[in-house]
Amino acid sequence: MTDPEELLTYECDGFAMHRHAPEVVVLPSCREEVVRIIDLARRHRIPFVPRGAGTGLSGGALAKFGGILISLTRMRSIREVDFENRQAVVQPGVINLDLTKAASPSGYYFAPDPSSQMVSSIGGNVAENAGGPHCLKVGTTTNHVVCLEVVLPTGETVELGSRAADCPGYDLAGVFTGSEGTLGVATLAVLKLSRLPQSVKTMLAAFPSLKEACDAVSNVISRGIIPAALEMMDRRMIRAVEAATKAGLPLDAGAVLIVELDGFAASLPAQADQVAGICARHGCREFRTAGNEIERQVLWKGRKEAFGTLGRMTRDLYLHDAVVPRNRLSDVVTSIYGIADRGGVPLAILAHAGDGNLHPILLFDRSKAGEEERILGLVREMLRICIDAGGTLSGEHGIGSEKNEYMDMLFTASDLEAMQRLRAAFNPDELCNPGKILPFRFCGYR
Amino acid sequence: MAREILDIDGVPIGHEVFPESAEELAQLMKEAHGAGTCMIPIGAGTRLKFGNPPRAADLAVHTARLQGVVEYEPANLTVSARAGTPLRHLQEILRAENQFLPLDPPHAGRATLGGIVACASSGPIRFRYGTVRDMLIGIRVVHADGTPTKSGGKLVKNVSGYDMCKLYAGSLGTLGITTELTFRVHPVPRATATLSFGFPSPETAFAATQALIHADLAPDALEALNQDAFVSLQGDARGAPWVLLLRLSETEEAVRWQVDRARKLAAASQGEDLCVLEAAKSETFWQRAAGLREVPPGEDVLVLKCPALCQTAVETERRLRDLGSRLGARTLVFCHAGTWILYGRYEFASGSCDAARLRQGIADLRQECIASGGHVIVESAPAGVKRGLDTWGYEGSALELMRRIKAQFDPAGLLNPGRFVGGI
Repeated sequence: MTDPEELLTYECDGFAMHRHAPEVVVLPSCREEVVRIIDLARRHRIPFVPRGAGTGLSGGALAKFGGILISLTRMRSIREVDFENRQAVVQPGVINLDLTKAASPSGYYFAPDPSSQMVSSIGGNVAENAGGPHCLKVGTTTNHVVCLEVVLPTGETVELGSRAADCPGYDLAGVFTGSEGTLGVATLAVLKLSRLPQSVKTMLAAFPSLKEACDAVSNVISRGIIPAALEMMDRRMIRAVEAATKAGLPLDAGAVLIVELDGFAASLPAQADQVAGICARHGCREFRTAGNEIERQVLWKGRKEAFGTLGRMTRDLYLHDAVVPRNRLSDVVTSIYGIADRGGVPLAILAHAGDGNLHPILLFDRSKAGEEERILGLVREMLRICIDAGGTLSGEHGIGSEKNEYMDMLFTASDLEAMQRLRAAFNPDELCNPGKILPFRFCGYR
Repeated sequence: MAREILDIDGVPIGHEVFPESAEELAQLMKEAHGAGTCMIPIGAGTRLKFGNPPRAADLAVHTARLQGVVEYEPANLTVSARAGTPLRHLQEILRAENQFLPLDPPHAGRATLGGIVACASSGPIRFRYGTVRDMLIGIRVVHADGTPTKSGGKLVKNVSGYDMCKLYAGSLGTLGITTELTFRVHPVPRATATLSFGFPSPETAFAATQALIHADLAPDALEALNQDAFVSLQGDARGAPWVLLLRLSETEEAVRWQVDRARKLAAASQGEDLCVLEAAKSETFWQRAAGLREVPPGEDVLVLKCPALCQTAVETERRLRDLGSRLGARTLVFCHAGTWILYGRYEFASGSCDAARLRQGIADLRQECIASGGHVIVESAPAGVKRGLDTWGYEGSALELMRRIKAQFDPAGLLNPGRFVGGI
């Protein structure tokens, strides 16, 4: 694909603030074709960037220096579902939810559930170490990767890890997961399948303010209850979601929590009572339990589509991703509101609160002169607050080209050099996805 | 404090240092690096028989004095501690807040956090909780040239940069020496029960395991043992050729429900109900189960670890048993059932271990196991046997890549030289 108009589709991923079209997009259908593309790129010293469904949120699939974009969408077969070992063998273009659909009739599922799971691909999930609402209890993608077949930027095809446990040597499947397409192209992934829980209970709790909701979250976790998911939305978010989905969210609430418990039917009622009690002690005004699967899906539909529902309220959005220790949530949220208020920018907050993973969303209009720079300034201030509270730059969206220049806020030069050494062992010529993760001085395309 | 250690697999240790802080450790390493000194990191020294004999052991760098919890936030379910902290000490501190780190490696009474992470040691409860890689969220490391670095943090969800924790966990100290570790911890479940079932054969014990896993149970651990292994654990055999131990933890109601269900399922799979252990008794019992791989110094014991797949578990068990007959050793075979890691423990009568025959036996076993997708790793071997034996047996396609990583981090090859896969 080389038609400039067609290439426009590939000029950015889900992070639209950075755009650069590749010179060419190739759609390999097998590993051998990936090897040939990489050999060609190496011979001519052309940068190349792997891309899944393009739903990433930090510019990971951006062809920052042009070159070849390798779209893995045609490699989308589920090769094997092995219930005996609770593993699935899939190509990188398989859609996350399709794997769960293939496994669920037998009582299994693929646990990582990013909000994009209806469209995002396994290859992208592995590259970004995708999270999702349910990673509070089950962990993120990295906890569900067994082994990988990877074409390295040097052209070698390697198997990282093995289907049998505890492959001798360095845990390179673990290293590759979350490497944002900078260490090679995964052409096959073996993933863990999890048993579907026996029973699920989903609840909605409405609070007068975000602070009270945050305190309730910290309290639930410190009482030794690990919900399957613990999600939070602030007032602006609630209004946007309600306008779009009519899920029956309380419009007068300052914040709502969606609490999902899963596990044994025998233990859920008592746990749900405990959660209700904690919420009540933190000023909860309304507590509802989904009575059936349809009501549960309505609650989740609102949450999963929350980000999209803001679209009708504003021209542009900056979806931010940061994590703080769970016991610091309340303070950090207060500070983040302060920054937005002082900057006069409308803010909505969506959070995987149980993980301390915050998504402040800034509403703005890019066409106004200087607005983009101003927003980036506020984002940087918010990151500073999170880092000072013991938090980090990204919980699930990745660093990509969005935050690589912020890495110095968190890491020393030696910390970053260690990462660069790892990268150099995989990607010595810096042709594979240059200009991502590490500050530009390490990984620019030369 | 570590016992006096004179050699690593017969390679004499030149000097020993016991740094008291990360800064002192970094300074010592910097000096050693400048002088081209080979370094052997040692925690409590419980697993010095793991890995190949080192090419040299000029300097033993002990982390035993880097002790103590740095930061514990119960409300965040995270804890940071220095590398030389014994796991048991950490568990006591967590226990006071009704939390724990779900690791049950061998030598749990003495092993240090740094050593457990370097060896990626695990035990039966990995079935539910995973291994070090699944709970280590932050790390501080001093590299071969004395440069300290950190990565990760005290967050359960973090994608800021490469996941260096995964690189260091299980790297056997070949990339750097760990000084501090941060883990995600878990609440202690309200109730626990241990059940044991007797089976006529490994086939039936393994089939019952699959039946239990595919049912709606959430076990902590399933451990299958042959008669000799069970005798070592329990003192008597109860007449069953194979025993399956099942541990369940949850709320009281859920444990009760699961115990009933597991008994019915096991009975339907030819399982003879042996007993239910009380929580208090069951804890020491499971510690002993994890300790079946421990080898006291000076004893002639071979321990092989053979990760397999469900479909190859039965044939792997048979191969492990056949090796025992061939070697004329008392043979304990046990298995993290469900994870399908089988262990063979071979105990030799004094002087009866023939090194050449043993090496050949391992080579033959390895050829068969690798052909069926498994591995054979020597965890422990009688003195003298390891010369000329590759304890890892890794022949995979990523070896060159691993060597490039080692060359990036320790170009002079000074850290634990030769002990890791492919002579790294």
